[in-house]
Amino acid sequence: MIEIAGKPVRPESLSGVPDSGLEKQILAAMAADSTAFRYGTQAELLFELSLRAQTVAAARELDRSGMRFATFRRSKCNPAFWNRTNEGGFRLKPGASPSAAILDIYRNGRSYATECATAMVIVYYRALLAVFGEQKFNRVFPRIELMNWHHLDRLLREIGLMNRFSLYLPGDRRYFANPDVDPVTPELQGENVIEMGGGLYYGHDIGIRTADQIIKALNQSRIEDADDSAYLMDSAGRPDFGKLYRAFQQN
Amino acid sequence: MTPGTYRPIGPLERLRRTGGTGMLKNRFAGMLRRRKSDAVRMLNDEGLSFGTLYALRPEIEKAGIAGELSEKNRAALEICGKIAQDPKLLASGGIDYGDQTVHSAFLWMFQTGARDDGLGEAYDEALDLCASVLLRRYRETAILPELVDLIFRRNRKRGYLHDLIWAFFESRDPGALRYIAKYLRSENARDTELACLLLHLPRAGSSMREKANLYRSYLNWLDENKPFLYFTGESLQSSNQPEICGVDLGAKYLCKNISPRSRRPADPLTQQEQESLSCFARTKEPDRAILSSYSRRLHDKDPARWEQWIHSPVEKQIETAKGETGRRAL
Repeated sequence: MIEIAGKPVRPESLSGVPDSGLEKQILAAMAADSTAFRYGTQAELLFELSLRAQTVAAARELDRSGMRFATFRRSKCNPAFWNRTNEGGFRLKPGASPSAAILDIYRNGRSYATECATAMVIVYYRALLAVFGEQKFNRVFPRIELMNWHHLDRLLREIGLMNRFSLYLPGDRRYFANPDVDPVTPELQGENVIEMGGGLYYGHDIGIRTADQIIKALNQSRIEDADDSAYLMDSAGRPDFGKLYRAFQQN
Repeated sequence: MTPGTYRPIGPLERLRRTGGTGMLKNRFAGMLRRRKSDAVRMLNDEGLSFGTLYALRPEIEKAGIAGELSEKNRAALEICGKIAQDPKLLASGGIDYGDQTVHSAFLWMFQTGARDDGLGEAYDEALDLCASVLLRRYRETAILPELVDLIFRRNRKRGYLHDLIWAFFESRDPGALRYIAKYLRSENARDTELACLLLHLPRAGSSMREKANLYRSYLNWLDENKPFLYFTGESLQSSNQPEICGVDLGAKYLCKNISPRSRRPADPLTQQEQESLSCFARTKEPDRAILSSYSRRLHDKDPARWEQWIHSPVEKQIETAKGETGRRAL
């Protein structure tokens, strides 16, 4: 169910929804769900649809970027834009352009290697860059640190918080847990993914796959006496679209 | 090494502690030139620590004396070699985990090596991996207090912590949460912040009195809920505020211990317990919390009255629990 300014709205009555399939699919799913998706204005709803679609696009693009997988201890970044921290995260260099630094990851993917959680944060920054545009993005995100769910910008804090929802939508961040992982590969204790729609998920290094394929891949890294299979957790990290929309409006 | 265990300090160990790694390497190289057998004997000395063996790896390799070392030292060097190349080489089949020497080597590496955390990135990675192997494969829960101290020391240095923290929770030992809890009353703000994060508590106040109160109330909470705690699957890899341990309210209501790993009851439920649990599951969420807390306290205080209460209709149970909780009868 969708409500704008307290009134129920039918998807077909909305103007300005792009014809591309994904936004319409998301809108239809929201309308069909019993949970109310509430917005102050139509523009706010369109902002969320756009950011969700751009998140999916950014995930596809990162999958093709050539960025490799590495544990935090062995992570790698382009020193022209980023300083590598003691924890293995990447901190934007003083004076570097935030938008150029994010785009460099996509253009020079081979110069970067990191874990799946950091890849998710990169995807969200790339999507925000597409929606905000370069100048606004640089104003809103002057300091960026890429290190899984920690040291997140306050505007992105919610992507690191897992909550249950009645409906999961493209652009949500999900998690496959692997409880019986082999202890020598703690990096495979789970896989952070972006929900892509159509039953597909993007995970860094694992690619764009179905849930079964991801579970099968994780199960291959279990300890010999494993009892439990990997599984998709019934929760998601979901951006606070309202907060991001206000930042978009105010800058 | 359990606290208070005496471990002798060998000659090479003493050399590194007094003169540093540079002096150790120089003197060791001299020893190798003059009398190789003395160098080998010192490496095999009981008082050698993992940090010293690790520091001398290049010299040992160059001198070709690895074959003359003790089984434990050889196993430790093999483990280090594989970690340096690719830790995946230690996955199933990469090393014989059933070999007692391998087990002892992992234990020795962690117990004598933790104090030298920070010796280098590869060294710290080896410590992390030892901790996870010891806890997940060998169930060596005796290392937990030392592991927690290592986590908090490294946190102060702003080093990479997540694998150590993951290893700690792989023990699936709710009782070990008390080792973390002691840092709630630390004077160091980074300690209390991390302890709150790991125990899923709101950030502690800054005064020592507030910290002491939080510590006490957490221990009371742990005492009340420990038999009913289970591991949720959340971790720092999945969330920035993970709830790593949760309370199974149904188990607490029935006062039945559960397995923290599987969340299954330690003993199978009787027919009557299953029926009670079904009624409990149909109550509203806030009522479930009240019922489980009341049940746990009544069970401890007056088992005979608890027997009567748990077999009364659930609506009556709620009424009693709310009434008595309000009057602080329990």
